[in-house]
Amino acid sequence: MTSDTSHNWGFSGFMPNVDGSVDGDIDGVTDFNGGRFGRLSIDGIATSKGAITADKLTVAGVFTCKDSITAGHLECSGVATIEGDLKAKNCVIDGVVNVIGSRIEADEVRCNGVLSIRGQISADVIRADGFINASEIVGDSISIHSRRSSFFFQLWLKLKETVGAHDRSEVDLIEATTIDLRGVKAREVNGHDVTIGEKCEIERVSATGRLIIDPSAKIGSAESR
Amino acid sequence: MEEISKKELLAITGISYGQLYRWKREGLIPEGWFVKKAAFTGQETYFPREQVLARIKVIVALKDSASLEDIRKSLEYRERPRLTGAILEVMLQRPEAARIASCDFSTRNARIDTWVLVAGLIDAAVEAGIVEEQLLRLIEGALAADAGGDPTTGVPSVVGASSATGAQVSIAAAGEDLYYLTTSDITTLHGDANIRICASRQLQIYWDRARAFSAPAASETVADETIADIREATNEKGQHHDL
Repeated sequence: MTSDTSHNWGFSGFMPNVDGSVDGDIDGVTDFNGGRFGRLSIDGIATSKGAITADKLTVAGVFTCKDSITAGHLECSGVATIEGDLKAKNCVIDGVVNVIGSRIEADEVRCNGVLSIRGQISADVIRADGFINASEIVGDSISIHSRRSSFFFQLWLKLKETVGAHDRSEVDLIEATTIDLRGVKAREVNGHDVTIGEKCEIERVSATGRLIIDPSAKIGSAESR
Repeated sequence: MEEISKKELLAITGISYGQLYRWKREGLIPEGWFVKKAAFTGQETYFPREQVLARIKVIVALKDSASLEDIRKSLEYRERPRLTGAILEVMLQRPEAARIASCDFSTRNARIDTWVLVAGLIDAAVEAGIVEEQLLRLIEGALAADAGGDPTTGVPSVVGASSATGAQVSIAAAGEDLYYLTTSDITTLHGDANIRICASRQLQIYWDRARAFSAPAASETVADETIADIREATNEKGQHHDL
């Protein structure tokens, strides 16, 4: 049981489960210590001082976790800051997720919002219509189509002032079996089948299979065999 | 040690980026084998050549018949350190270690944390000037208590405590010929003036030595046929998305 709150003005409830985990709903403003959850849903403003393990974690409010998060399913339509690492089977990001730790590991990441990490994202499948900022994105199938139309671009522009971001995704290294990019700035892209679309700026591209480059993309050097 | 670049590795084994990174995530390929080095193109990742090729051969051979989780367990089992008395002797540069290691407990306790603890104990015992018979009694006692646990006192098991970060083992004397060992901090020893610490050892250095031994043996050389095997196995699948 983890609801040892130092101050708690919210309508928060923690319901114990049979397996020792708890289900939690946080609607107000709460600090808690972390722990193991079945389902954890945050609609208010919450800070967890410790690591969190959850089958399903939903963030619709503002959430800060001072440690790592391990989740079966993570859904964030609010703003989440994770000061440790993030490990999840599925991540669906419609809001803003900022990971301060060194890595994100997942089976699948879907990002229609903004996902930022200084370190590496490793996932089998990555699908982004929003923005991803990372030093490395690696996996099997990576598709990043960052574009200006969405509501989140407006949010992104706001963020840009505070975190110095640009109007496209920025990644140092992208490596995957299949890569499909639009609106991405990267230093190096390596893959088997690689598609570089419009509004991309890539220093070095290398493909061992098929390589398609949009004429409007800025490419330093391209290599395919 | 001979190294292989990531690109070369993928090219000669025929595995995909997706497979490589998935296997890394699943713990099948140790993170420590990914070594980043500056290259004229920016940065390139290198692997210990023989180890990584041998590992990929095993994974490729098993991946269609077993889950990645099961493969990871089986790899852990296969590569569990088998520290013989001779290795322990080398670890400690002490001939008596081999004799101690050949005692009865060694056949019952093949776990690495046991060996680390025993290695630290032997060094400490020599410093403390404890006779071998006493030392054996200490070891036997610690391991017996560990096997059975000690529910009455709730004291954590000695072997279990040895894997904690910064763990140490100390031999304390509580009178003539009466010794016991502790992994707890010296200051927590209940202020009894008759108890004094004879010798203690940080266990980290023994962990380091043991891990050096537990790396796959270099004698498992990877001949060209290994690479041919991997290629054959990957080509049978004929595609790159097959994780």
